[in-house]
Amino acid sequence: MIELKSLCKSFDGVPAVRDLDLVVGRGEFLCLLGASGCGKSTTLRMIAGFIQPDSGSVLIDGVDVSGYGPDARPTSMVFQDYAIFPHLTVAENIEFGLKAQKLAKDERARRTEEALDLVGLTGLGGRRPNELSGGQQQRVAVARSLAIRPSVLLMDEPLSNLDAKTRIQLRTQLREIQRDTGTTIVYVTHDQEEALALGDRIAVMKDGSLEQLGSGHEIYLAPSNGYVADFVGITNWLAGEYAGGSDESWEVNVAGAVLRATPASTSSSVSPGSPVDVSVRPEDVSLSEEDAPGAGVLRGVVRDVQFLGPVVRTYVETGGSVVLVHSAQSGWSPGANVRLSIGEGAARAFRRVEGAWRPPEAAARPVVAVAAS
Amino acid sequence: MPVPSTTQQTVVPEERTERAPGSRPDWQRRSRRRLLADRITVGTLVAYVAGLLLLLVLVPTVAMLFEPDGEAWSRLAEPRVATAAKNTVVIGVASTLSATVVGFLFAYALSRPDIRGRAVLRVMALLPLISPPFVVGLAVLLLFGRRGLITHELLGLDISLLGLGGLWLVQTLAFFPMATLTLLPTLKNIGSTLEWASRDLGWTWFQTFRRVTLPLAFPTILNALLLVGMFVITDFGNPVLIGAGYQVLSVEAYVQAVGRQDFGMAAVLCVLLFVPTLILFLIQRRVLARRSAVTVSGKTGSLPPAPLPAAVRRGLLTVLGLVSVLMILIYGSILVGSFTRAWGADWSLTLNHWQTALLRGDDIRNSALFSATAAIITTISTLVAAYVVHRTRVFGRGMMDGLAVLPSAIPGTMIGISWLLTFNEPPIALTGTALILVLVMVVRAIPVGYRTAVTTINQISPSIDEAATDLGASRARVIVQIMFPLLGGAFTTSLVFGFLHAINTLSAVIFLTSPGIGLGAPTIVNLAEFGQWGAATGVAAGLMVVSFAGLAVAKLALGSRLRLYDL
Ligand SMILES: Nc1ncnc2c1ncn2[C@@H]1O[C@H](COP(=O)(O)OP(=O)(O)O)[C@@H](O)[C@H]1O
Ligand SMILES: [Mg+2]
Repeated sequence: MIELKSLCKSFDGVPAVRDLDLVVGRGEFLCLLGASGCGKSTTLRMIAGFIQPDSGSVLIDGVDVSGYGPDARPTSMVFQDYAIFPHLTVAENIEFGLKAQKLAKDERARRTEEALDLVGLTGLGGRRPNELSGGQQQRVAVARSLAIRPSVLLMDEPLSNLDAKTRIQLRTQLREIQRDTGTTIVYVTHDQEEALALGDRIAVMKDGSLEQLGSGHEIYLAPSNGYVADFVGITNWLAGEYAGGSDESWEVNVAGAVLRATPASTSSSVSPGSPVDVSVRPEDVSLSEEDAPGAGVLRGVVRDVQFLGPVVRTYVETGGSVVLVHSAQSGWSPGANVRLSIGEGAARAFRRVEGAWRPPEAAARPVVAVAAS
Repeated sequence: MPVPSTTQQTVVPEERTERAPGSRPDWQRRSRRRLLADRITVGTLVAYVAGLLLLLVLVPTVAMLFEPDGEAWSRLAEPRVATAAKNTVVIGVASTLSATVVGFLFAYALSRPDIRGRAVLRVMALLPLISPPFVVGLAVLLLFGRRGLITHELLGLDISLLGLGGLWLVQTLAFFPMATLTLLPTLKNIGSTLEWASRDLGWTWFQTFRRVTLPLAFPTILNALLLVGMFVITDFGNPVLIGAGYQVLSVEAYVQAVGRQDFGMAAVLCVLLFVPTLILFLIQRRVLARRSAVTVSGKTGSLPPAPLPAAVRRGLLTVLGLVSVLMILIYGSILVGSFTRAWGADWSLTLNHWQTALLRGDDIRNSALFSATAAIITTISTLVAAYVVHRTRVFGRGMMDGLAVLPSAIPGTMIGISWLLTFNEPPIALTGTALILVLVMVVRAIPVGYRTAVTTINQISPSIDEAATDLGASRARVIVQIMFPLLGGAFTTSLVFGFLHAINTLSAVIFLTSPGIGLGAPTIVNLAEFGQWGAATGVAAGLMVVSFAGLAVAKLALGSRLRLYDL
């Protein structure tokens, strides 16, 4: 179990991690997700003991490890560039940490075999690192770290140097290994898909602070702010104004038409006329004939249809902006006039706050509603 | 689509038959002309490079091998030869080891951002690289000699550090920067990630150093040992200045050639020294070749190197601080010596030596002028040589490549003596001229210039000159309009390198200067041998001022583009 308590770290006066509080449970797979430069690696390195925090503390299994070097912490790091020792064989690499634990020779050999089996490299112990593919090297790195049975396995974008196929293959393998060994993992990535695929929980970071912590479901379906909604998955942004409603459901004026949207936070300071951004996932939008009964309130023109296999992307221009629609099939062709309807409870509303994150301008231009035209 | 392809098949042969034989299309005639022009261009370059290397490197070396007669060879068994050989080995091994250790410590400290005062360490490692190595010997003579400032004046001792002990100290200080220069890129490149990984897996700093850093640096350490070894065993200036009775092969050869005019014997001694140097050189080339195959994979990334334990840092700084103090004493004593009336007897200040150095400034002026000329010749020749070897497919490229780097394996003493033998009489009588001094400087500077040129040429992607050729440029135009401009910065860097090598060289030129045409470096040694320390330090200081001035000019002109010694 790891506890981070108000962790702070600055480099040359520029804060990299600000006041971070986080608890990772035993056996949990936690993903630290965020754009490049948001302080994920710095956080991980403070857990590993590579960097000492300016203030705050790191507790591992209840013990405050501040001041412990990396060699004294029960953590192990898997690096982005593998950091396999090029002068040692695969088996020697795995034994490297076992020797430091002063284990007997046969115990070392047993654990090395075990670790190789675990990552699916049985029989490759005698190879040199430069005889292995990138994916195999990274599996050696994982085996090397797992062999010393750390309380926590730390992984810093371990798959980002690999090609797409290997990446997905290793993801699955990693989940299995974690389930089999029950190791606690803190996994850093900037790839939201990877985070969703791997993490029991995801911690979304931005500019050194925690934006939201929750399961993939929560993060994706109930993002607590606009940044998280935009960063995780794809979303359409509609700009509007608060028109009324309860704490559970707002009515938002989007260029004249009224949309129902779930507010991300219950806020007493919102009043009619306050600017609001509405986020709608592409798969929550459906299209229908222009004059079909019970169709949605927004009207648009199909601009482009892209067939991607499992999903069809339809770009619909509604007034000034383009809304992306995901569906399993699409009978539409460019030029068709359509209406857009949004699934029940699928729209999320975020009150626009001065100085806070805002959706990119172009995406947030008001769409022209049917009612207005 | 079968229709268009059938029509094409019928059209093409028709076109061919339509053309009358002899009236070739325009582009074919042009390309024939260019092919001829290109052959002439390449031919000229090859002739130049091959001629230069054969004449300056191969001919004197081979000629010298035939100089000694049977009687001279038989004298190899003489006890003084055995002593000199044994001494060379002893001092060679001892100073190679110590210089590499000190050089490693410097490189290790310079590769660590948590070591403070790296700027000072950098200057300490740079000084011996840009000044003549024998300046260190001269300074030790002043400080620890029989009338030395420290041994005699301060401690009142009658002993001196001359002989093996002093020589060991001097060679360590004079040549450790070679090791630093060789090791620093590797130590920087081993990468913090691998060291962090080892710490992370439970090892302490020391164990990480022993199990990761040292093994990964090992090939480069070997390389540094071989390189330093070659410099130490062939060095002439320091042993002649402070060897006292401790005779090494290079000095013995000098004594035989200049003192006794026994060139047969001198040649025998040179060959005796050449063999081990050549072996070290060949091993070093193999080490380099193998190392390129096993490059270290750990990238540095944004992860800063692991900080050193406080005790290690303090220990390292203490050792390097001591070395730095010695270096400051050494270069300071040269400066002070040049203002002191009579070192060891009359400590009053004077400008006399500087006046003498300037009035009798012929030697320094010659050094500057000849070195500059040699640098220009070297830079152009090595660039052409690198082009011929790496960008053409002419016959004998491997041979030219070997000859261009061979001079770094030939002891300077041997070059000097072999040139004296080869160019003394017709067909090529050059002794006593300025030309022979310039040319011998060129030979001394060729290997390093050639390596720089090869690196630079290889950095220019072949697709660039392929593109130019494809667009219709001839070889000559590619060279003048593509290669030259792209080589700009490297050209100047190579010039400065060449200049420094030329002006600091001693062992080869000392045989070739004549009463009319002297040079700074040999003059310093001659003056010091006669105990004229004031004058010797005056000329040494003057020579260093010229070197530094040359360096400063290049630095001003190029700024950060001048990548001279990457410390
Ligand atoms: N060793 C360092 N020195 C200076 N700045 C650093 C260092 N490490 C990280 N930073 C800065 O801290 C911020 C966070 O970096 P990092 O934790 O590596 O981000 P991430 O891993 O999320 O991409 C960045 O702005 C980065 O430039
Ligand atoms: Mg990172």
